[in-house]
Amino acid sequence: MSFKEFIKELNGSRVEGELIKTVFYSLLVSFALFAVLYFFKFRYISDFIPKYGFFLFFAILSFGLVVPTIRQVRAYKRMNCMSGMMVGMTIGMMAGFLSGYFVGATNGMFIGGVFGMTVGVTLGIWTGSCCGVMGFLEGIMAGFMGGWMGAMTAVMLINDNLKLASLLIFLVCAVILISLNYMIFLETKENEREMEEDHFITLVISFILTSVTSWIVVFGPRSLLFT
Amino acid sequence: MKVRKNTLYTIGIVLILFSFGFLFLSQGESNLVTGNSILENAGNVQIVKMYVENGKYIITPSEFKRGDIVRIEADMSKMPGCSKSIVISAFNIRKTLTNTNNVIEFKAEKAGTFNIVCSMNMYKGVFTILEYDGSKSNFVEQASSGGHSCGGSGGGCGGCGG
Repeated sequence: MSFKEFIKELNGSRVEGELIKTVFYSLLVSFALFAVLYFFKFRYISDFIPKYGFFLFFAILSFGLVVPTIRQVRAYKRMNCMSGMMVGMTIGMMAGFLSGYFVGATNGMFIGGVFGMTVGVTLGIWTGSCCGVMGFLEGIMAGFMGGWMGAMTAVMLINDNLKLASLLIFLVCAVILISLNYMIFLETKENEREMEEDHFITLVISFILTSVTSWIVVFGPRSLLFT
Repeated sequence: MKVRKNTLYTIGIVLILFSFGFLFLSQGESNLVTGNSILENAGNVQIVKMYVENGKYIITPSEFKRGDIVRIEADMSKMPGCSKSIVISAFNIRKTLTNTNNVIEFKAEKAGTFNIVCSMNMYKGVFTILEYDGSKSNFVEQASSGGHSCGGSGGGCGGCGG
């Protein structure tokens, strides 16, 4: 019953009604930026699409799933400790794991791990802080773990079905993030929205994540496995 | 009105995914596994033995001549854990060795000192390809500073198994 309410609210007037729009804006900015970069720079790199296209595509899709959740959390500002910990942990872990995984698959464990940890910890702390120090702690721990685990998983799959695993991992992470959207809806459906904002943050986060990821994947340092 | 707006956004998302998905996913790498037999087109064949000792790939002999076909035969009884999963990035070799397929073949097209590593960059080794006239090239492939967490005592880190 509640899930039906959530689906219904995706077209409603609360922040959940803006989630699909946020996904659209995030993907639009990311792919537009990528198209510009590709036209002016990347297309001159030999084998660019066969080497990096698959992983960059899924990295951009991953950001398109993380960004709406950040918007949803920011809209309610404050949550109780349990929900806030769950928010920090899930966003930190998913953002860290996915970005670590896709960079790890092209650049190796060190660069993937450092990048994944940076993204995961930053987003985990930012969103987890909605419930104070416990969410902060969960965010930083989950980002740290997720970043390194993602990069390590990618490197361990190098001589195995890396692309198929990427697809499966992305799908599972998508289900987790959508479930988090649902959980936030359940926890806050009695609350009033505390922050009204335009899509500036969505555009900025998508722009930064896509440009940094693309730069690292194409020009960043690589481990011995990828030189 | 709201329904119509979100429907439009959903259609937009699908269009973006289809158009960029086609661009990104239509040109995949042809084949992940490389290093299989190429002896049909062979010139001179240099047969090499390989095993793991103290966390390092030991290759004997470790010097080949440029232009030769190099055939690396692994002693699988001395190849623990992830050392079976080989990457020689300079020659685009990626292959997981088994008891029934323990050979890597490639053409030594460039001279220098190159790295051979396991797919987790734990086990490492080097080999040298000499110039056509037998002289040694100055090129040395840069080695990563990564650790040997698998190797030291015979190969058993968390991810390597045995």
